[in-house]
Amino acid sequence: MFRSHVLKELSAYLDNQLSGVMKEKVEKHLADCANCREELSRLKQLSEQLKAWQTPDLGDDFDARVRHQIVLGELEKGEVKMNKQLTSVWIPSSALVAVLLVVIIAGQSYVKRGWEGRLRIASDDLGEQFEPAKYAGKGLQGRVRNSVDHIGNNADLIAQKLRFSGNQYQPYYAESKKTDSESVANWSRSADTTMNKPVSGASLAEQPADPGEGSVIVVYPVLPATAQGEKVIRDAKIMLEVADGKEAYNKASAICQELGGYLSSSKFYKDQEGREAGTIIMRIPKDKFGIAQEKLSTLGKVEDITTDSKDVTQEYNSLKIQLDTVKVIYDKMLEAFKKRQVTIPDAIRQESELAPIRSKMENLSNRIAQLDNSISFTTITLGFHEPKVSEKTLKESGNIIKESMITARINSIKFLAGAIPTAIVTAMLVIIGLVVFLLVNPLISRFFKKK
Amino acid sequence: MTDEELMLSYQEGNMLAMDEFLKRYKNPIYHFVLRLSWNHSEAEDITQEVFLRLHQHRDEYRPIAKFSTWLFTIAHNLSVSRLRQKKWPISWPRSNDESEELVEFESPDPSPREVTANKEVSQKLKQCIQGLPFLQKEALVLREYEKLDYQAISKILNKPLSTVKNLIHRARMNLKDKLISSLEEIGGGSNV
Repeated sequence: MFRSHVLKELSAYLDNQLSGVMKEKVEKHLADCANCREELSRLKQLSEQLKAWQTPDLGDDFDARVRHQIVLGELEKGEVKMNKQLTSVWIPSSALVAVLLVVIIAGQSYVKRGWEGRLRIASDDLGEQFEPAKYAGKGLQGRVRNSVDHIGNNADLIAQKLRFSGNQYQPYYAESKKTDSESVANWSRSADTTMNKPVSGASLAEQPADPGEGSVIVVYPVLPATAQGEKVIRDAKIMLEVADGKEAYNKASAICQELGGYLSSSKFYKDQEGREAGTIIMRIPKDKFGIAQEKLSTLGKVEDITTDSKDVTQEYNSLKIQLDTVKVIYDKMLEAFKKRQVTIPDAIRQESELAPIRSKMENLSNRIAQLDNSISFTTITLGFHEPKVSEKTLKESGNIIKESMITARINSIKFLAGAIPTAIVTAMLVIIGLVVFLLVNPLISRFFKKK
Repeated sequence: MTDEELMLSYQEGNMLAMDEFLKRYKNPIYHFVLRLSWNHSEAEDITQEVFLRLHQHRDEYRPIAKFSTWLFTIAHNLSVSRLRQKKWPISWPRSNDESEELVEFESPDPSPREVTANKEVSQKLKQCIQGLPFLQKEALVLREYEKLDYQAISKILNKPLSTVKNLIHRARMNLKDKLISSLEEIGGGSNV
């Protein structure tokens, strides 16, 4: 038992927070001390009064807001995470694409200059097999080698891309430098370390991986001069003077349909002088481009004809390569995600990571589809108009004059027909008057003479 | 399922556990912060932040600590942080600035006179609590309203057990004195 008051312990006693011994001591003191009992009673009352202060609960929408914030946070985190993950993927991928573009552009310039064509012709003349690797280390190839050396580990990714655009380039492998080619072998079984040996896309796929001392791709441009598989957008503009606008319009439409094309847009109108004119934009299959121009030219007198073509091979192949690369990344990510344990936030995060890649794939696919359409269907814009004074107008004018003349004659006859009776009656009256005068005049003269 | 078991399942990816946490703790945390801040939007904001931090730091939780203690510690830290940023009023708001919606009474069907008297008492009570030093107020609120034991309060405030015991005792003594004088002013009389 405490000799002094236990005021300092009363709060803890009230809250039942004292240890067993201390609690016992306080209880013993309280049994003998009225002051402390009174103080304890006041504390109890205070505690009761404090209960009177109540606060409202949170609204029903609080849970939803918290969940929303959590999801937002996860998405942000997911994006950051994705950026980190993709940095390791996109940078090398972008580097590959950049290198390939350099190769393509440089290759095309060589082709334009007839480099390979001349070499091939020369070797054909000599009866030798054309071996571009003889020129390794020089010019374009040297530059390519340097570029590819930096990305040796991704060699067969490039091989895949090159196979993809195989209508322009054929890859060759040259043994040059020791690299970690394990990943290369995993990526593809297309490695061929034979020096100076041209390998087609098909044979690349068939040959087993043999990393050996390590493979580095050296690319040689072997684009034939004919540029088989070229991607060219063609269009033509034809301006015709036609005898009959409506007839020309109908015939042009029929030609378009006959050649398997379709009208993209058309306009038919009459000008202030009544001449018929119009414009038809038609899409014609690329193999019917020439025939279409010929047939349309027969519809009237050709005033102007312009043809234009735009080579989009490079852009097309670049887009294909990009699409292929993005697809590879997408598939890899998808595969990795499938292996993970999926929870709701994981699923949200995965979706947010895949969405931009999917969007990129769709954009690339759409652009490729647009190019495909523009390449496979040429565009012919046909403008036509009737001549300033058309035969039809002349004919119509002649007819109008004839009709006017006839009408004038009829009117004059009608006029005469109405005037003649009046004239006859008038003449008769004049004659009768004269006769009467002549008869009466002698009689009057005799009458005055008699007087 | 206990809080700790629930938290472990949340760490393993069971998102449904968050619903249960919200159900169990959103109002206790909110009431705690509201009594400290006397500001509805601040209290709601901090409560939301508490649950966001619970989610963000879920992997850091270890079952050695009681879950509710951990959660109130987050609320305490956030409250102290806000107080330091001077976002909360330091002095007690004037009576005409007070939000009446925050006061509710238990008394069923009180007469108009009782309502008026209760309001006055309640306002005085709040005024007195608000006038307490922050730590005393916090310790008292955790004890009186959240019914936490001294050990838990000690962990939340990061103070020794003896300090907590003193804080609560002094809070009550201060409150008792203030309340007596305040109620005497009202003239309602008090047994305190």
